[in-house]
Amino acid sequence: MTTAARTTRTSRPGTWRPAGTRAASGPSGRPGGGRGNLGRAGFALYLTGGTLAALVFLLPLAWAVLRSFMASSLVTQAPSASDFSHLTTANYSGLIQTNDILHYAGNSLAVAVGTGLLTAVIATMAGYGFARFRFRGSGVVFALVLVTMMIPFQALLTPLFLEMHSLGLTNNLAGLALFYTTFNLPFGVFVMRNTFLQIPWELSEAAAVDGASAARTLLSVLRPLILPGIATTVLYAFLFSWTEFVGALTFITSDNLYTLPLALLNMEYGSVGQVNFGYLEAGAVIAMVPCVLLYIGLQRFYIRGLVSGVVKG
Amino acid sequence: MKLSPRHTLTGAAAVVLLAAAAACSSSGSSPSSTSSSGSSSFGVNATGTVQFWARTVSKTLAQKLVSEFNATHKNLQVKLTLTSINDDVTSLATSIRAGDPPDVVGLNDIDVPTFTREGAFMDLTQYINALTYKADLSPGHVGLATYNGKEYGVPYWADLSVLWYNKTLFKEAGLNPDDPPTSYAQILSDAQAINKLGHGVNGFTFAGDCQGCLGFTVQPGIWADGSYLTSGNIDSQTASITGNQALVNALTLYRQIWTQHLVPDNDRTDNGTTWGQDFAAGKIGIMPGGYGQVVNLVKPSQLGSEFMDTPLPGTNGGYSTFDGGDDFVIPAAAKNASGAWEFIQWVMQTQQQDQYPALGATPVRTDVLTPAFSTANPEDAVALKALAKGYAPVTLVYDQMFNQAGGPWFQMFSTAVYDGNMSLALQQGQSGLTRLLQQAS
Amino acid sequence: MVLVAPAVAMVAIFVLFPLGFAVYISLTDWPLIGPYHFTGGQNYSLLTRDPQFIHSVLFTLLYTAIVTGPIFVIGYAMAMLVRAGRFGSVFFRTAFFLPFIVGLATESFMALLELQPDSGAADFVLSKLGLAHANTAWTVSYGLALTAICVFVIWFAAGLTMMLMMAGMQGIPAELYEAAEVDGATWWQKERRITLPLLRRNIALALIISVIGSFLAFNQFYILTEGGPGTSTQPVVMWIYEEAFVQYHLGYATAGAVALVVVIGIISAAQFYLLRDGRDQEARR
Repeated sequence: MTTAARTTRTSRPGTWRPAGTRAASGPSGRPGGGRGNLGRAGFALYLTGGTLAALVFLLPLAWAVLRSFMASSLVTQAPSASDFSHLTTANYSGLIQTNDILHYAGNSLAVAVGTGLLTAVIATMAGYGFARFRFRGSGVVFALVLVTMMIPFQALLTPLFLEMHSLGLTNNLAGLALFYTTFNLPFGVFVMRNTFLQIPWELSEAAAVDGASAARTLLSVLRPLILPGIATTVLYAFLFSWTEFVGALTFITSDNLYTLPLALLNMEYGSVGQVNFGYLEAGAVIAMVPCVLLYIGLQRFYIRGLVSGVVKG
Repeated sequence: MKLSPRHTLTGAAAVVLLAAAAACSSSGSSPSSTSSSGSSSFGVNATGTVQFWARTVSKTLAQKLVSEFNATHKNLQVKLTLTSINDDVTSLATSIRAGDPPDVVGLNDIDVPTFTREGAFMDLTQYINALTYKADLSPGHVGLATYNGKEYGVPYWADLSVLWYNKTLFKEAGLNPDDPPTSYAQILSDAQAINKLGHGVNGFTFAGDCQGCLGFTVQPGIWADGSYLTSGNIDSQTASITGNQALVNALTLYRQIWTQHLVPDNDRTDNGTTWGQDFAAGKIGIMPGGYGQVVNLVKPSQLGSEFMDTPLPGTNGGYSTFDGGDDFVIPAAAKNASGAWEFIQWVMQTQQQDQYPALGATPVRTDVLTPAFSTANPEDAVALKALAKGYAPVTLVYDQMFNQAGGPWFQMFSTAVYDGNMSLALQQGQSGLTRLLQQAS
Repeated sequence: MVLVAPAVAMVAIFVLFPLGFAVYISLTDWPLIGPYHFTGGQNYSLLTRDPQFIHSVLFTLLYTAIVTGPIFVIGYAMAMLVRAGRFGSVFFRTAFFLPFIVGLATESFMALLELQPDSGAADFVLSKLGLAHANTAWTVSYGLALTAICVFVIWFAAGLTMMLMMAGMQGIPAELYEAAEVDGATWWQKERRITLPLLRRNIALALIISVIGSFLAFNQFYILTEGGPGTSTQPVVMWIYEEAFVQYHLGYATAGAVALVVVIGIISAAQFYLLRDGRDQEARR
């Protein structure tokens, strides 16, 4: 047993604060974190280093956004200064008006939201079950759930299609959502199990002493502590369904049910395999928007989740 | 509470076996007809719905045809489903296995032999023989749908390869814009002249990392010389690569174009995704490409004035074209085969064929090439004229040869054109193709 | 027990059953269309003698070995940077995670465009910096393509590691660090003694996902190099794809897929074992 583990179990009540939150008497009084526990020089270093790194990560995407405002014929020529003076929204109007991309985005949204919610519910339940209870064969069952992550599902396409077809789940968005949920369960279960295992034992013990049933324990006492895990699960599941292509290609055959990746591909590809890169970049920007919004929206669960001080006695 | 895997597996296996058995025993079976007249008028006054699967690359054409048909046929409605890129063959095969195929499919013609060999499609020979224009149907398309003397499909639309050139650049380089190249030597000298113009212009362009594109545009020259890369009929083919002088000539032309830097540098890495865009931007003198490909890339006003096409020539003349595009086929287990045939016949009427050029396709009947057609669609008339001498390889290994990663066609092209080793290239091509053919039989 | 039932049921229906069916297919010569015959273990023995299959396996292993370390280290470092919730951390977090959000397939196309000689941004920038020729053809040479793809994938995936590490780091009580500071520990000592041991499970998750993802890599290779030149950059899943959907040898391809699943399973089990957390036992009732 490490020192850290022993300390965890005997942490004093009322002082449960996650690492990284502002010390109660921190030097900066600004809301939102301020400088935390860094000195002036440290903070400057942090800002510079962080900004440089962020730029490296953002630059390719920012360039792609810029490209999306260039006419497709220019996009495949060598970059030159004059490109910047000919910016146009033709790619966007082409996608939105001529090709009705928002309709397909709507399909994707329905599937992705459904998948995210369903995955969160099922994974949380299963994560809790695996973390708190040991039953015969639980190790084996957990392994089976994880096996899902390891399968290249290009290999499963034919058997899966035949099976889904006989279940009547092909060519409909609900069937696709069920399929996506299943493939996101391993990640979700893994994350939620980790989350539950990380919660100190005393919390659920304390609630049990108070006479709460298992379900009530889960919901009211543990909720704030498991929100980051749930947020991660929902985000991952949403992103997976939003960008998934091969499964949608196999199971959806009516073009009005196409999800965004399928629709975009069809809009972008020409008859001999040419790609309309202008459309591609613009399509990527459009596709990015809900994901970034969701991501930013979920950020509050990451900061606030553990700052609740619920441990008593 | 768990499913019993063994039980359901046996059940599923049984379903699959049944579907497979049905698929392979149904060649030559009579089609079911939902014609309300009840007589043996197949393809006349059919009723109900027709499930039509078309490839997305033919989207504009398919949508136009289907909406027009539905507007003029109150009792027979066609429901169009567009199959996504790269997926059309697998989804058709899986739907046949699942026992639920569409009624008519616009299948990529080079993929048809894979299916006819297994009896997956309805035998249409008697109905085709009844067509008055039977002799005018694209020979390349028909050839691909023929197996053991029976015909299992008819042409739907033609996606042909031609030699495009830029009239403006020709004039600039002092060449006659109405005298396009008709031999390899002329292609080379015209490209050299235009390349000298400088200012970002090149004489030639090709998709240097795109095996399918190269197969589409390089082979017609070989066929124009009367030579082919395989010999024998589909069940017992052999490779004819070594000693194939026409092939050597074609590869040598490209080698010369490459070493003389008559193409932009980024042609080497173009895997088809940017093919033709430099030509459409007016920076290229000569480009072998598809008719529809360029029509979809440029403005209608530029056709004929700035950009024009001519048939792909052989070494010293002659011409041919790659008969790409789709065939109409009717799966053997189709529920409304009669309706399907009625739709197919309607599409093949001259009235509909005349609409093809504007939608980026070439008609499939050579008798559509009237003077009126030529005047209205001069660029497509060029392609249509070449259709009569068109060809597409009838082989089971087309995809493996030309579209698969590491396939022998591209390996051969690469070794000959980029590495300059012709004898090694021919050796690789011969042994690679021979291996594929042996595996397939 | 009832809590885990829905998850197990879905996995059984949508994964285990088709997997069983797939195993059955791998024991046959299942063609695209037409009848099939049971061939027993023939496909598997063919695999062991198939040079292309073996090459693709080795290539996938090489690729995994190259990218796993950097993805983890960079992701961890980013998590350290952003976990404290200081001013600017949400912006940094979003920037680092954005490549993951946009998705690998779309970004592979963007990369395809920018890696073209002469017209792509990569050569433009590198030639201005004097690091490469303006007409370097990245996607048609083995070494260059592998380098470009590895850099690209690290850029894409590090953000996910960051998120996973960060969620775990925020669960560590602050007083542990305060106590260590009182003892005079440096940041590296705090990291090594406190954070790393407590994050074992999260590290395990991040590494397992990363390794599995590398083993199953497909999109970036398919889009950028199509496995070329020749088949030198062809990973296993692309080999499976070519066998199944271009050669139409579904039985043989499925055998390769089943073999891949087994290999991944073994490697993941090993990772689980090595990174197991002794405290798992205490949490059980």
